[in-house]
Amino acid sequence: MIQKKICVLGAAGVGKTSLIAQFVYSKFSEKYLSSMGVKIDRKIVQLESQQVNLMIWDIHGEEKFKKITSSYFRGASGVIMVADGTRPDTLSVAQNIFQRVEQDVGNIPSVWLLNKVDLEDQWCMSEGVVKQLNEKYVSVYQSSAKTGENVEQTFFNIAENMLNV
Amino acid sequence: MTDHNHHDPMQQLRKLLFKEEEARISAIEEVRDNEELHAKEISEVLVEALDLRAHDEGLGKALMPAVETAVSESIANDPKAFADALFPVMGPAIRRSIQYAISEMLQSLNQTLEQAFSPKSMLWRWEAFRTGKSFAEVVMLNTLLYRVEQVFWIHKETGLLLAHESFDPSLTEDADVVSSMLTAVGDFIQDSFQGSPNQEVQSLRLGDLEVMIEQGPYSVLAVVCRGNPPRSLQVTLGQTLEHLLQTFHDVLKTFDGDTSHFSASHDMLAPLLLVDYVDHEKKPPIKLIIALSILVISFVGWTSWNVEQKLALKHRWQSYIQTLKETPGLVITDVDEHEGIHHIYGLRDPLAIQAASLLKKFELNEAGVQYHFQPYHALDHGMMLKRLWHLSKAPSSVSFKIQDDVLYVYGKASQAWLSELQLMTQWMDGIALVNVDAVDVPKPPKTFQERVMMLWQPIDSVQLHVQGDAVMLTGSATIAWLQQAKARLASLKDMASYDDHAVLRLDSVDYILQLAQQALHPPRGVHLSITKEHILKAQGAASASWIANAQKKSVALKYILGFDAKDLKILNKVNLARVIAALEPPASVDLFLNKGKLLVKGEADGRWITFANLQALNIKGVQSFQNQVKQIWHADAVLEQAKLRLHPEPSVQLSFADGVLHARGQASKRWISFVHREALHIDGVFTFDEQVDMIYSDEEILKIAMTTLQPPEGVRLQVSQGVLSILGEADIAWIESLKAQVAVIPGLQSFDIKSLHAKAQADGWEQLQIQVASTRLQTFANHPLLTVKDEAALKRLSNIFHRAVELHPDSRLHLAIAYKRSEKLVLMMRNHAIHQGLKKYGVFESQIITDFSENQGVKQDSRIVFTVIKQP
Repeated sequence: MIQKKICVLGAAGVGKTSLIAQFVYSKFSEKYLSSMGVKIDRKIVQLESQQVNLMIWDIHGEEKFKKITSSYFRGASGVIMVADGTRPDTLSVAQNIFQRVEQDVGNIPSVWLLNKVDLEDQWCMSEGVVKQLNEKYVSVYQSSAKTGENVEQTFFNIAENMLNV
Repeated sequence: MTDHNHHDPMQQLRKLLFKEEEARISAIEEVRDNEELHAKEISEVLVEALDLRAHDEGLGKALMPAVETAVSESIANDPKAFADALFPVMGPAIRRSIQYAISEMLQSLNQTLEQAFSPKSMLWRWEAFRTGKSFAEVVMLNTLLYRVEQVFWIHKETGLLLAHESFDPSLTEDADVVSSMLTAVGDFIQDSFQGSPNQEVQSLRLGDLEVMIEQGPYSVLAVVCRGNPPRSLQVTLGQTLEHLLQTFHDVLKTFDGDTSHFSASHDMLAPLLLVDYVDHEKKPPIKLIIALSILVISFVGWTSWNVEQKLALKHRWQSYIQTLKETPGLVITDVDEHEGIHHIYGLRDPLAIQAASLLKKFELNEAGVQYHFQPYHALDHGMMLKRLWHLSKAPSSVSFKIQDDVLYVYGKASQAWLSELQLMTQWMDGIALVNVDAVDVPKPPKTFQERVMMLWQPIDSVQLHVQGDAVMLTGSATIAWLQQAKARLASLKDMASYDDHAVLRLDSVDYILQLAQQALHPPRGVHLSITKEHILKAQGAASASWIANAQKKSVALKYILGFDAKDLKILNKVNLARVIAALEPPASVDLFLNKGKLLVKGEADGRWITFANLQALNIKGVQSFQNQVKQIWHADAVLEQAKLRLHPEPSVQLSFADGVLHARGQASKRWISFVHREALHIDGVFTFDEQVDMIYSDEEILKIAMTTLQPPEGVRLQVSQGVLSILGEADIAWIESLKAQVAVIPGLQSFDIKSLHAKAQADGWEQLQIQVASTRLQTFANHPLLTVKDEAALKRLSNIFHRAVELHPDSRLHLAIAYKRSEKLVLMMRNHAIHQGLKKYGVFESQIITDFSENQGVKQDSRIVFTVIKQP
């Protein structure tokens, strides 16, 4: 079976861990996130052609005084970049992190999520922003860890993208 | 077409030439196109073809799906056929598996039974009961040395699990997650502790679990061990990792997540699942035997040693008692032992040695002995001599001998001591007589002064004074002689003090210089000094004859070894003396004369400088004169000159300091103007500081008052002793403005308006007209700023407007004012916000009308029309 390492990245509080929790059952508790800055889960995805064992590295959210340990990116075959649709500043944080990923790992498949789409009344991402993101990155979804919208599709998408590289 | 081919010569030629080949090609094509014939053709070479590619992995892979399908189909159709075929294989395999399982079970059972009834096993059963674990688990944990429970082979960059082995298959489920987490932990530790890339985590430990990690170029081998694995396991891990790298190098290098390539690693990783138990085979208790042997030998040795020690102790004790008995001054009467303590009884001369001091010599313990001695005087010669030494305090130069009750004294001793000895021995038993014939009695010691004199005789120029034990020198001597004297006298240990400060050091630099000054009489301008080498050095300027004389004299001076006149300039003594006599320079001025050229430097007052400038070239022999004297001024002289030239008024005080002439007090304007012109012409005055209050005369004050107040007709001004009196009649507005205007008149002490009366009030309009007519503004040509007088007039004009508005609230009012500089007036009114004051009544506009004079009789003047419009 093919195994692939993917990293889920973004600012603190954008809902990365909740997205993963929607998709997998975690062996390790979230205490590893706060202590070591990373929690690893596994999910086997059945694509049309074959099965892929996704090793999902849930990396702690970037904060002002808590930078992401860049060695966690090493060897990743794909990244899921998560921003909070109700907080525009988290998008620029995600873009900064993505720049570092590109510097450290190179050009690898990515999926961009504007999360918390269920919070309609607080949604701040204009269509223009979404359009710009779509022009810049191949896969951009509006997701919700609460309702599960586009969560599974995200992981299938990144799996397919990684296999097609 | 066929017909055409038939008649084609080329076709005919080809048919003739390749008829046979064409037939063979057609046959081949038939075989190829006919599936039945093609299969038959291939079936003939299939076995040979497969045989040729038998060792090719690709063939196996290619056939695998077909074989799997075939096998599946076969089993589905007829399982028996396949079972029959596999029977010869399955039987031995199953037997071998069962045999292995039974063997393991027996081994485990054996291990458990071995421990079943031993005391240790009872403890383990209690532990199993207490902790809730199975007995077998407790036995395993207690007998296990170490066990490798899991082996992870991890891709280094991605942390993905390449292969995994475990002693318990249930542990393999989350191995891939654990593998990634191990990688993350390694990264975390390295980042947290800022380890260099070459420093990698080698082991992690949690209780009795240890994760040993071997890092390789592309992959990492990690094993989870329970217990204490031997260090050799790390070496084994390294070797295994190397083996894996050699086998899978290319696949590792291009690893893309596909782990199926590494299935063959099982054979390399499975042997790492090592286990080792505590060896419980019965072995002869060699350690116990050795320990017991050591114990027995130690006991026997200790007993022997103890007996020997006791015997030795007894022997030493006897020797000790014997020694005491033979010691002069000691008499041992009894010895016994009670409760382990030895008691010694007897007599002891106080001068005899302490009995306890001998214990150490015989290696005896002081705590085990108690002495019970009574004092007595021993009369044997040895003790008597000792007592004599002790009591007489005999000097070391004497010796004693007792023979037949006579004490013989030898050596050197003082008479006094001998007398004391004879007196003392009268009362000593055993000495009847003292013989001092052989004693050399020295003469009494000399006094301190005699000893000083014996030791050291001062030279004639030095006087020695001895007071008690103190030595003091006076007179004169060289430094070297004084140092020698001090060193010599230092041998007198009883000398209390030594003082040679009063001795004149003949060869000291100061003294030599003093002598030189006295002998040579250096002229003014010559500076003498003495170098360390005692060379007399002269600097400055002197006459040639003095220099020659000084050279001769200096050589004759004691302690001067040479004369250095390199820095001495030769002067014409005769001319310089004449110059000094002629010019009489102050002490602050230096004169330099060289070949008729006279140069003066220093500081002097202007008078001397002027005098020197006039006089210098008149002196005989002076050919040129250069004056570089800085002029200084004496405050008294400058002040005197200032008073003479400035004639200060009585109320003025003058003072002078640091080139500044200060003037304070009060004075007339005339004197102040005069003094400003004159002050800086006084010699020595560089700055004039005038802070004098001006005094105005009554005439001056009146003149200013007339200009400032511009009294209307019917008003008269008078000034007497600084008091302004205003008399006559004036309108009320003028009177009201007086106070402000009077305040600006300088020199005025007060003003009096008791004789000033207000005119009778006209009606509003008339009054207004009168006031407008009486308003005069006076400005100075080319003076762009508003003067105090202008300001007062403007204010008055403003008041008029206010009142005009009050009188004519509903109509426009035109006021015409004749004024020579009307443009300026408008500008000033705007600038001084006169408009602002009127705005509360409405709109104020000003307009210049240049030809409006005829009716008003003020020709050629500019006029201003002010219009005030009351707003509804």
